[in-house]
Amino acid sequence: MIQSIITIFKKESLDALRDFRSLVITFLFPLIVFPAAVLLMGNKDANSYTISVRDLEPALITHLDRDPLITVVKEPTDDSLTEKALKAYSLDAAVVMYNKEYFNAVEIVYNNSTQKSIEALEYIKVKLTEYQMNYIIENPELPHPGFVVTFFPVHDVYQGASMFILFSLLPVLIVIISITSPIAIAADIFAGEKERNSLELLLSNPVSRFSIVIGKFSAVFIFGFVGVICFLAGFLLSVAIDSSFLGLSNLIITGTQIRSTLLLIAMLSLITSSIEICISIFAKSTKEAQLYILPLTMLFSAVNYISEKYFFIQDSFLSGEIVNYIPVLNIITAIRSVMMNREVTSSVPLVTVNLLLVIFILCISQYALSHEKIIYRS
Amino acid sequence: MITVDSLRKSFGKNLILNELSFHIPVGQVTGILGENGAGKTTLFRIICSLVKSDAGSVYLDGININDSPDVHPSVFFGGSSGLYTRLTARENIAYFAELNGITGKELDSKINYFSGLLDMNHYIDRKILQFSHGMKQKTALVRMAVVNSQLMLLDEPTTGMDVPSIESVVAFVNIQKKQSKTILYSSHNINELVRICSRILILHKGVISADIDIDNIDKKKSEVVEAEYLRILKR
Repeated sequence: MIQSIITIFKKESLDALRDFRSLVITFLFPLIVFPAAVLLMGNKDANSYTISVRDLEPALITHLDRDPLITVVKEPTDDSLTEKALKAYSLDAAVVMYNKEYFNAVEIVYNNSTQKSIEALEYIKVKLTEYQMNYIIENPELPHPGFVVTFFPVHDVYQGASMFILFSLLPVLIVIISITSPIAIAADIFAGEKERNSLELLLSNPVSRFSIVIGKFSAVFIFGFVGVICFLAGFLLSVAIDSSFLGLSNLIITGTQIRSTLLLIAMLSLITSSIEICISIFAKSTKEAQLYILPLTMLFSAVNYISEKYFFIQDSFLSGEIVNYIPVLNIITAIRSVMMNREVTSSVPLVTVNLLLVIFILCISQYALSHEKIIYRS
Repeated sequence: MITVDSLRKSFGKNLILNELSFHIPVGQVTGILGENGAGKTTLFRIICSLVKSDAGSVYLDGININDSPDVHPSVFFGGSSGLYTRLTARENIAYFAELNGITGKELDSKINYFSGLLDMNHYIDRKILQFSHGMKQKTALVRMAVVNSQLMLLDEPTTGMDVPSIESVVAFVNIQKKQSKTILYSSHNINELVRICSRILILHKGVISADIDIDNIDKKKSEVVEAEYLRILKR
């Protein structure tokens, strides 16, 4: 039986690797989508920042204004430096001013919901450090000017834009990619065999239905899992190309986060792969299989929304909570926890209920494959 | 080798096989002749356990197919070759052979032998995507042959083939015949059946309407079978 499973897995993998469409959807698209976005759209006018200054010493204003990337505009008169003020003065970057209450303290007010403003913050920090260094070199006899820099985001949603990305955007993208990346191979793996009339020939061999389902499922799982890994690699590559990408300049990933994320993605891929091959068995053609698989992205996105809205924010991901026993929902909530560097405390029920769901779906698949009305559905 | 006993199968209200019974001894090549929709393919699918009969039994070497007999038929459905287009002919053949436990040198030698027999050596390592219909049919035949089953079911294997390709198939089946394989061969081409088979069963309205022993006909075998076939159709 093991040999049959390996033979089927090898054949399906080889078949999929020779399919240009599968390669593009599974590997190329996830790997290049973010880097391409960075290269094409990321920094069209990133090399100029419009900032406003107030109460700064003239030498520092001159230092900032001399920089070709910085345009210093008139001082805002409004004391309440808010997002509204940033917009009112058409400042796409930041406002720099001395704090009146603390000696030598510089405040930088920026809008953390825009990438441009976050980039400006980073650049101004560099320029302030540069100013201090120049000051020391040029005036060795004078006291150190060392002022303290503080930052005031005016659009603080989840402690910063990067947190927003990690909290909301990335989990839903992982879910969608885990469904879409193996879709070409999954839709073809049974429904395509029906179209080619090769399914009945395959079933006429002395190989159990179980071996056929497991062999094909393994191939779909590997492609789905690797597809999501490619997507995450593309995401990290984007951050490497442009450190300010999506405001993730300060992104720090721990080894535990990587390990936990990989395990959770593997679990998610097991679920999505099993559902997709089950749909493929019931479908009469590849197109029909794709038609039924695609709405899974909406279904799983809805689960993601429920996770974000009702479980994670309320900090309900704790041992004993009902969310831990709901398959898929617990994976997505756990991915979100790991992204936010929180501990996932309930891995045993998470793994158990999801594996049970996978086994259940595979049993349905095996049963369907023994049913002539499904095999010869046309 | 094959015993079909009171086999009954219907799809909805459409009765396909009606108490069908026949026996094929070991090493006999038996032809099945019948019009479209007569139930030839359904019969083949039941023997392969792909479709369940409503009633009746099929025995392979005396063992009911529901009780996992030792003999496992290798099958060829002629309507479509059922090949994987992104794989080469060799890879397609090897896939099914490996599923039947044939690997390594034994597999290589079998592929080389049968591909030589059907004059396929010059395209055995090409992808199926580039193949003509005849080339695909030949590949499917070799895929079936390397499995080395004692029971072969060929359902209209020459459909859509040109004359040289049909000749290759006839030669191929005759070689299998010499190796004492039991073969059930369906076709609409009476000349082809007469050249290959020692016995022809005419399947009509779900039953065997005629059982013709070809070896006992001295002259004009095709004409005798054709006359009998037309007589049954007109009935």
